[in-house]
Amino acid sequence: MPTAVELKAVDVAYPGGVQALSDINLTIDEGEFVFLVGPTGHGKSTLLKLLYREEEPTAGQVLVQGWDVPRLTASRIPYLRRRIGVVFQDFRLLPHRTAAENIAFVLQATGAPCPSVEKCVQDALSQVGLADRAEHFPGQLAAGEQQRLAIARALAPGPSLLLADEPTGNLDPQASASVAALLLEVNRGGTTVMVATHDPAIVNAARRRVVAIREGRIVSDTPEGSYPENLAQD
Amino acid sequence: MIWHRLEFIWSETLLQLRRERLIAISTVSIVAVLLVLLGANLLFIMNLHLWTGRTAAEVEVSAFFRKDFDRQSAQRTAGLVATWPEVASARFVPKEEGWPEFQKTVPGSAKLRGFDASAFPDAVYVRVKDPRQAEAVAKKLRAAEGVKAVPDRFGDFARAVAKFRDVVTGAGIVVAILVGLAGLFIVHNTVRLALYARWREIYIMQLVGATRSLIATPFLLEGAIHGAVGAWLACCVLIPTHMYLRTVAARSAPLLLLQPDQALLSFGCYLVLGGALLGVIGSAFSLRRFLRRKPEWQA
Repeated sequence: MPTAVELKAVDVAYPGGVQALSDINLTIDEGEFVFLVGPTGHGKSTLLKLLYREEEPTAGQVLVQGWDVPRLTASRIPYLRRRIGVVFQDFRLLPHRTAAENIAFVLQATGAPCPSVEKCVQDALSQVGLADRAEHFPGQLAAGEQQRLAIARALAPGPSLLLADEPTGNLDPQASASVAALLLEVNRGGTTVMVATHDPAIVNAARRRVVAIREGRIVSDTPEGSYPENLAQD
Repeated sequence: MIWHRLEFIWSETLLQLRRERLIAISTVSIVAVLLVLLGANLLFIMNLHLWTGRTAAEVEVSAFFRKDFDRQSAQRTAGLVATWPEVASARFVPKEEGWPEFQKTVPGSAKLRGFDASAFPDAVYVRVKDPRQAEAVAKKLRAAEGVKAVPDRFGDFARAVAKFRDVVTGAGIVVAILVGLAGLFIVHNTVRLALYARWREIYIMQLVGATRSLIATPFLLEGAIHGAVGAWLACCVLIPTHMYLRTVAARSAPLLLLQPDQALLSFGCYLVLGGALLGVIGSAFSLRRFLRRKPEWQA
């Protein structure tokens, strides 16, 4: 199986001596679904940010689909990011644009290979079950729907890697379960999915690979695992 | 694909202008006022150059030959003078024509009674290319073969005209630079406001892999539109005003030359292009700083 993501001996230190990640070694194959779990502030988001070059490592190697991410020149970063979809806890939707416009904006900005923007927008909305919400503004959608829209936006350009940073952090249990189910469905379509979360419910329900991070270090890596009990107490 | 990109850039630019229309209107107005000042200044300099250019063309240095110097040699000297690099033209005037011409050009000389016209010498009248060179040409003429006298009638005037033109042009350029910088600062601030108003869109574009040029182009276009529209409004004030002043001048001061319509058309085109360039540079400054920062997402 080809490798989607590879981190070798990665360290991230912030100015002032804060060590965000230490000696991270992690390989994720294409088509895998991986949960990154651990307490808030222990390095999950930093690890994801390394993959789309919002952060840079102080040591080590970060490879995404064969691209040596830290060595990319500024002009190449957009081309890396077109292969990666990113979803956030706070959705990060454009409040003055409708659901359809939020997706169309991304398609047009990236020049995604789309014969018709309208058709691609409709397909993306249908994929997340929001076909009837196309003309609604984000403020008119429920939190769960907003996150589904954010996922549709991330998927619209057709990335092969989807990163979700606490995607259920702002959702009630029912909406969380629905978003988790959607991410699993996306993965079944062949997209590699990495989800950073500290929500044991969705991790335990999915029974997928679980990588646990504590104080910037990987403390366990379990295929078809569950949320580590010692981390759940933090 | 390229067409879709252009369509996207244009729609984003229009969206920006629509969303921040009050800011856009105030920016265009301020840029227009500044460009009226800048344009008036430039028109003044253009007119001054036109006037001093004509004055320079009228500066004539005359040299009188010795009476014993034969006419053929004097004509040869005049021909030689015409080849000097500082000289625009050299005209040989035999003494038979010299006296009547002198009477026409020197007020009151016609009333001189008992003046022996045959005592008037052959002469060469020289027009210089630049009035500042009149003195040097006079000096060279004094040393030329057969020349007896070179009256220094125009040296001081030519120097004064040239100095006045240079000082006013220098001051005009300083004013133009200051006004241009003020315009740059205003567009820079407006685009910075637009950038802050649209930071979410910019962040999303960066996140999904939009290139820097695609993110920047709508803002550069916005700056160019502010500058060009401001310059166009300035032209709407300056050109009709100049045409009116030219009509008034033609009636009351015929010697006061003002730029013709053709020059005003070129001036208008350059001002609009300059305004657009000013806008692009102002936007580029804002973008350079903004795109380097890491935005804090506050949904």
